[in-house]
Amino acid sequence: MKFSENSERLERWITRVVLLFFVAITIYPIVFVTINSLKSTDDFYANVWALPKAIHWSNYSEAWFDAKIGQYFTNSTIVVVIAVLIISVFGVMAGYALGRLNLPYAEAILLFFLAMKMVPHESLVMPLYLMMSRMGIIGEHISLILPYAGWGLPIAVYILKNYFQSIPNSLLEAARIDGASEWLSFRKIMVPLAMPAIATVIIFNFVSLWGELLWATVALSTATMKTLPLGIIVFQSEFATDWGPLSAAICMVMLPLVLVFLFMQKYFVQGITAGANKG
Amino acid sequence: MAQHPTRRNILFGILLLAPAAAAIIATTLLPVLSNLVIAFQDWNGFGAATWIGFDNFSNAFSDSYFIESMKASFFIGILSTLGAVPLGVLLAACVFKVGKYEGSAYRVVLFVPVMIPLAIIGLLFTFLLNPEMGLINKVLELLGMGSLQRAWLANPDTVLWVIALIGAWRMAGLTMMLSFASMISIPGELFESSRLDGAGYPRQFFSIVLPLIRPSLQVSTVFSFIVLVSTYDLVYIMTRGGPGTVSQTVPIYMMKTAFTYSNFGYSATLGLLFSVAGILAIVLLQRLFKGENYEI
Repeated sequence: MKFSENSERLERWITRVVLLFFVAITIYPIVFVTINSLKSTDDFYANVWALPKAIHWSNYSEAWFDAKIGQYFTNSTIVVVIAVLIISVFGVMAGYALGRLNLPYAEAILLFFLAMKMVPHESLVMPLYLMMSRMGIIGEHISLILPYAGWGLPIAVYILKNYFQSIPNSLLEAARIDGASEWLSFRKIMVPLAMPAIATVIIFNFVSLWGELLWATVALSTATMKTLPLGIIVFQSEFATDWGPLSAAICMVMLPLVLVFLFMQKYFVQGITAGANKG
Repeated sequence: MAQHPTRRNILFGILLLAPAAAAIIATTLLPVLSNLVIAFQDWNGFGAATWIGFDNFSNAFSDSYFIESMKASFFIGILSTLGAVPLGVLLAACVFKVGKYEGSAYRVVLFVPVMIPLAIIGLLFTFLLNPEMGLINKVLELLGMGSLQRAWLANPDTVLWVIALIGAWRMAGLTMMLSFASMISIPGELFESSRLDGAGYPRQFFSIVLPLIRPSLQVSTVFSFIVLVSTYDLVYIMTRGGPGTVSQTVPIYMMKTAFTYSNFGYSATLGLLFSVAGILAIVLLQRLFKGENYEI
């Protein structure tokens, strides 16, 4: 063999060093903010770099109660969970219809959905604001839930349609021979089989909606209700020097995302790669 | 065999399709159409709107704030995509090389920034870039390069570069994940036979891997560009468009025009022009990737 064991080993080590360097760059800002969320203000100003002298949990309670992060957290949870539910349910229905039912113009309908996804949100928010304020619902939870659901649906339908198409026909045929109705085979066979794709849709949308700022800023501009990202901005502009509680607030925003990702990363990775390799 | 569409079937399909279609039409199609109408009007959002033809458009082309904001948006979009995609591919190549178990740990960590909302990333870096006690200036001081210390976000020469770099940092993980996914589908024999010919990993990478992962490179380039060219959150948190209007991207300028100056017609025009420019850029990108097609 021309290629020696040694150069193979060398290559492996070089790649490992490159990776560790970038892992450090990636993770450092997050570690930094976590460490500082546990310091008192004095401790923070004394040495930003060091580990905390004493663990200072009160930053968390200060952020949660005094800076109302808890309240914003609840708002965001309500809005995002309902929007994600709508996206999943409507997405499964439409994905099934487009992928399995041989509808005329199915391709054209899907293209239309995807074209709608291409529209930048910047040119939607102002007309949408005007529409909703005319309807008198601007500033309510519903004024966030509806657009979030509508904007998330195109990709959800796309992922789910592809997934439904990949399920072998034999299963459905069998059910049909047994006399199952279209509705029954949809509910009892297709939906359970599509669970991995549904998980992908849930995570994908949860992650992107949890931090949505543009529409939230516009829709809630005159409302007292705030979502988490919006609340953090208010916090930052009012208590810019209160680094401890601010760091704590940042950690509390990131926590659900990290948890959701860690628990479901296998599905998530499968899902985004399945969608991407199609293109 | 797929079944033939029957009338019952079609009815069932329409029923299933209707809610999603209605939601998409109400939240995207209607606003887009309404944006199109408002773009030709002079309107403060309350009183009666007057039709003014193409006045908003001709104003936009001579509006130096708009031109500058277009430049800022595209600067951030292009530069950070140029940073994110090659970096992501490099990381994927490394993850691929170190093997399955070790690689998956790196993969999870390197993907984390993609999940963190841009608003939070903005806050994190405001922290790290703080001129007095931020990390970046401290590191420069330690390395004996104190003369390079800057107020990174308040300096008109550096602010856009810094934002673009942060954008690249955020999106590299996506390219990494997508390229890695197509790398694992490359047949192993290809590597073995080239190895016998004496090719090292770098050469294998350029001659085998890169051509074969082109489709996912295209997806991640287009996706990163779409996310980063319309940067709003990051800029809003870190600079509010400043210093002056140096880092004012189009979305920031649009929001100001509509909701601070109550000039809704003009804001709609800016949105329309920005969307058209963005879609043209994406079509151009797709063209660039077309060229030759490699197949396994």
